Amino acid sequence: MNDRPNFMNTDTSADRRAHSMRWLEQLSDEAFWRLAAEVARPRAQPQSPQDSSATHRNLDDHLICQLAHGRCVLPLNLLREVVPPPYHFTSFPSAPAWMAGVCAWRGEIIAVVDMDAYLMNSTTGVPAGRVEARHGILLVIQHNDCTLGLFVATVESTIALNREQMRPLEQVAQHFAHVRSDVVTGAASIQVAPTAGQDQAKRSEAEVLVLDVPRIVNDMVQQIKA
Amino acid sequence: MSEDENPSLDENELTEDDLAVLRAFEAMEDWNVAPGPSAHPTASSSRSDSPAPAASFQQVPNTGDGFNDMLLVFVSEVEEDIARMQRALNQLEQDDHIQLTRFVPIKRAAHKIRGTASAVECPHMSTLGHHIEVIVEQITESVIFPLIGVNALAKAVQALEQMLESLAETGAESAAPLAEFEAACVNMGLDLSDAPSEKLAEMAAPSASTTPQSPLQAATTSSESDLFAGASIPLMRIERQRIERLVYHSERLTELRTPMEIAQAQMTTALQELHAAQARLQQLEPALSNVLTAGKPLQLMNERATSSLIARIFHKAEARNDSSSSRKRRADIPANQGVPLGEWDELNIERYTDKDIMQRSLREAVADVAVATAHVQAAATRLDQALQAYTTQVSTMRSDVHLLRLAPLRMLVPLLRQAITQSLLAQVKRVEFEVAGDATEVDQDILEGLAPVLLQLLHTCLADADLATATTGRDAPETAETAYRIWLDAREFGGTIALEMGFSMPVHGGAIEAVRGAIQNLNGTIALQRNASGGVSFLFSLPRLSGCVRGLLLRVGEEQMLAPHSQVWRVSDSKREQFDMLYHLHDLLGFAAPQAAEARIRPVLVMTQSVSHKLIGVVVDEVIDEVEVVVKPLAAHLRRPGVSGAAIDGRGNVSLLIDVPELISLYAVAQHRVATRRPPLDDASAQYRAPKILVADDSVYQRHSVSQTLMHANYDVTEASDGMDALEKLLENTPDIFLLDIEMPNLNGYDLLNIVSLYPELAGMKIIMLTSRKSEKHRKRAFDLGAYAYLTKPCPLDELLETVQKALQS
Repeated sequence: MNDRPNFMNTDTSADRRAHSMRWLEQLSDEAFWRLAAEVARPRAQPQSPQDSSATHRNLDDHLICQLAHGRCVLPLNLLREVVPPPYHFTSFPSAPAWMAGVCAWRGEIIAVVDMDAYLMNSTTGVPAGRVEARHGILLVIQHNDCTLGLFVATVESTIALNREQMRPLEQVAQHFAHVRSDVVTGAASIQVAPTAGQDQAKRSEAEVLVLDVPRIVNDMVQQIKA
Repeated sequence: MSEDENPSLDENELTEDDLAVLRAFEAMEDWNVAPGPSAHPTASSSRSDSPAPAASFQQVPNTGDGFNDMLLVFVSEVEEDIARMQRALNQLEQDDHIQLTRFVPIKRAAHKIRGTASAVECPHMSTLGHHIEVIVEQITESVIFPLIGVNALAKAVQALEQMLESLAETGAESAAPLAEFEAACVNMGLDLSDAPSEKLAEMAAPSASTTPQSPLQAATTSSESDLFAGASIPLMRIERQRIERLVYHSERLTELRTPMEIAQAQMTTALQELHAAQARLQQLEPALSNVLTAGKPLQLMNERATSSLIARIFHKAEARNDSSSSRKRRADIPANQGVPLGEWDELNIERYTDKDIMQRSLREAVADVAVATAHVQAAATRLDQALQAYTTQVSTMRSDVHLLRLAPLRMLVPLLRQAITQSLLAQVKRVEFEVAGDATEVDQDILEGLAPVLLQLLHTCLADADLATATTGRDAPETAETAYRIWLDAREFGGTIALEMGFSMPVHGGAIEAVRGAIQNLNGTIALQRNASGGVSFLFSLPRLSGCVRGLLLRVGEEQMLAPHSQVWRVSDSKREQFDMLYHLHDLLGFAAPQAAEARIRPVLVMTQSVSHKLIGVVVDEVIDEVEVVVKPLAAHLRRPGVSGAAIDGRGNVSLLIDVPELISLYAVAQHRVATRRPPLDDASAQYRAPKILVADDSVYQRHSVSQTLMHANYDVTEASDGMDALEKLLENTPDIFLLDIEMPNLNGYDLLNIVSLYPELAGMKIIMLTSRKSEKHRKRAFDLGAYAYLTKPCPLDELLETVQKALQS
């Protein structure tokens, strides 16, 4: 149940179907419909026809998240759930300043990290107690049996990125000043949907941070440990 | 040293050995030791200019009586230790089969000799002590055959005797017996050179060396006591009547399914009706608005109405709109007259105007909604009743299941009695085991967790029979016929089980360190006190049900926390009584203080007095309720002192289960650090007080030698001969510095480090370990438990004094 199944694959073996079903059952309604929309949509065209096979092999699906300081993407294979609001975060003693608290997820108690505060090394602005949709969206990620909640402003669509699309963070430093570079794989340019007030027909290009989620999880766990 | 300088010293209370040591130290008055500071010990840095000697009697100038007295004390102590080892060896020879616990007093005596001999610069004797420890280690780890090991030990004791004799006669130890012993070991195939000496000092886990298998496992090897073999045994003993109750209630629970399904189906139907009526109203609303406001002809909807009656009305109305004759007939009726609604006749529909029809339709729709609402209401009431019955039944079921899990404490008694009977102490002395409250019932999971804890406690406490027989309790005069008493007293209150395991005699140290982790895993606490018999009582507080904790649901700002019942004595308020220490829970948790202080008097949790002799209160914003919750363990990265777990309520909200005494202790230590960082008050105005130091060591020689050194440096020194004595003196007159040995009776050094953290009033005290344990493992363990410094014996005087000064200044 670790990896997201490839829904474009035509292999219909029983094992693969069972794996896909299990994966789908774990998704929230919101994540499920987002995935359905993604599967129904024509796949992103490779940059050039001649390298299409290579590009497909390296494609990793990522979820685009909006933060106060810009956009970031994180790999879908580590995402367990996009939890719909409202939430209830409980303050936790001796926690790092960027930790919003703890919450219950499927009977488990998980730490919730304010991603903005974490990436900027600042203090969380997420209130304790009842947290509404206007405050943000909770993503649950899992890596090496460690489950954490990442709190982001909002989530957008998913995107397939390959290694070639990523650039060192230094090249786009002006977009992400003061962001912790040690937990970021790099940056990438992606086409994003227009925001409210923009021409809805035009998609604009935006720089996104590609987060190194395994490293982030390890780092967070180390820092959360008292 | 005169009595005037140390008025607390009463010579009448001293033993012969103590008096001998005192006389020796009186002779030390003439030593050429650099004088201590005139007023403040921190000014004594000049002392370090000249190398200070270690606390060694061989460094004492041979000035006649003083030297001889010091020698006598040392020789006397070693003689006692040798006699102890010989007794154990004799018992081993008499036994049919080797009992590993017999080696405990040998190892302990050897360890003491090793440390003391090293301190007095008798390296050969110290080495021999070390060899004995290694041999015992190899026997218990089955590296060598026990018989060979016993033979080697006998030779070692013989060599010790020779060395002691030589020392007593000449004042210097002889190396020959050691060399002969080592040669004999080589002949026997023993390898002492690369023995893991550090393994010897497994005081942190005495069972590792003394009991190769866990006490529970050991106990369960006997056929009569296999009740608690841990999770491996799938069987549970359950009373038949309780099973029958469970079956009956579960059947009742099943029967409730049908009415609940009926109620649910009715609810669904009623909701569908309500939705249909609502849809009709929505359809009518715009048409009605048109007719009533603009006078436009009725635009009937194309959609087919769900109600046949409404469909018919619409159909006829449509037909009327297309028929001028109809219009003419309707025109004959006065426009404002209408038709009385009570006389509605569907067969004479042509008599009615559009407004009449609309009004009639609307009223029908409203009536439909009203009926549907009534149905929903009735269905909801039935569902509610069914749910209430269901909830009650589930609650009954839960309570029955809990009953199934309970078992009386008396199931543990045979195990404990067996452990006591097989103990070394019971071989040499009559030991009575008394049990009270053994009918008290506890969750079987708790019982299974408690069994190894109590067995471990007994094994550790009774590991050294000589200790108990050599010293008696303070208030219990010893006679040959007097039996030692061990008792287990259990009581239940409010979902918590309070257990007392008492010993009427001094016990071997290390029990707290050995069992504290296991007790914490059971969500319990451990404390101890000296009992009326002069011995030590271990007090346990445990939840009655596994996974469930009864406690108080508290509000701190916007957060809700849980405090276990066992930690809170009662709830009071700060206006009603005076507290020795009063804390705010938001401070203890590190949360921000409420911005606007509430005017009302806030409740105060009065902490259980067994934790501290002082009245300690914790202010909370509100005590919401008394609850019983299922506690979930936290992930490894979320575990931290002061937070024992968390509970999830019905709305999915998380409440943390806090360990209040631990939070207080952490906070007190942090506060003390902050306080010591502040600049000192005006030195001139500050009244000088000699810093207080408590020296805890079971070796008379070591204790007095260190004390004398410190008193010479103008410190106010108190001594403690064992762990329990030390704890009492700590609480009675808290010192600034606590010099602590590891291996001591009743409570060892690790036990004390563990316990000290439970007393907030001891938070400011610095603990300096002074021990012969040299390994990094022991050093790390001590620092982990909060030690300030770690010194090994023999410790040079200047290093000791320098460490003490640093501790006082930090």
